[in-house]
Amino acid sequence: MTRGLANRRRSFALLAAFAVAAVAPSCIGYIRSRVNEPVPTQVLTSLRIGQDDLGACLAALGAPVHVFEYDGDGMVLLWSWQDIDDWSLDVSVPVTEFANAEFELDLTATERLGCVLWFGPDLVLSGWRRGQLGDLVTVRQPPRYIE
Amino acid sequence: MNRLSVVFLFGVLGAALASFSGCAIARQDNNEPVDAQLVQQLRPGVTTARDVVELLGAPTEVVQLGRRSAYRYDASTEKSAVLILLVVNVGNQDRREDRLWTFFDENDVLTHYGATYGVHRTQYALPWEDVHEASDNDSRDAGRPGVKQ
Repeated sequence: MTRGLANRRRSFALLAAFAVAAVAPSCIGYIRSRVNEPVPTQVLTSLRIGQDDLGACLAALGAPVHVFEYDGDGMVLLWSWQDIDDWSLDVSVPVTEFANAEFELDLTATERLGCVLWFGPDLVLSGWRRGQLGDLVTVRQPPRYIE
Repeated sequence: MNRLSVVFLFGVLGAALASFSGCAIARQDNNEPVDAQLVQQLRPGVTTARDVVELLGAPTEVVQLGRRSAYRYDASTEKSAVLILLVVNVGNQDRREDRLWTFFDENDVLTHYGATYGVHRTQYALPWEDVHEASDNDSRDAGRPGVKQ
């Protein structure tokens, strides 16, 4: 194969690639989504189980996102935050005059992080845990009516 | 097609991509921000649930906790920025909340409250920017009355 023929083939391949790109519109997307600010681990580890009460924990961590009923007059406080990367690739290729073939790839991390604090009826911290929200909150309890 | 033509083709395509690029921003607010100066008027052991509602209005949520109860007040702001480069698009969403939880005993007297103020810290940013810098938060806090104790 002569050098001129190789160059022509390479140029043709480039043109073909651009032609495909023009005819088959594609889109690469990257979205970062951040919700709330993470609770610092050092603040959580500084909490003293069996000693710190609800007021001390609220002063250290601020207001929770959710509050649930727990153990009679006790309660569970939940903080959550999110920092996810969302990569996506969309390709659309016209197949016939009235139909397109589409390909969509979505690589989203759906897990949301959080921490949970448990308080007994005396409102003293009885435990805490940090991790993925799905592991922290296993059962959603519907709110009760106030009598 | 010679080398010069290929370079010229790339140049034209590059110019086309540059001319079709753009950016977009969007903002979404939910509820009025919690008034930090009003929250400072809450007095555990003195303030009642009725006082809280008269001061702050209707809560977003009321939760029964055995004989106790808790009221939630919240607001949120989400700012989105997108850089559109025709084929490659990058964007960022930053959402923060104001939250106030007030806790009452069985007599509807305030026992505890906790507040977090975040809506004023929300930023238009691109994905590689840090939106949680402490110095940035401090300067924004300074501009919101009642947030800095």
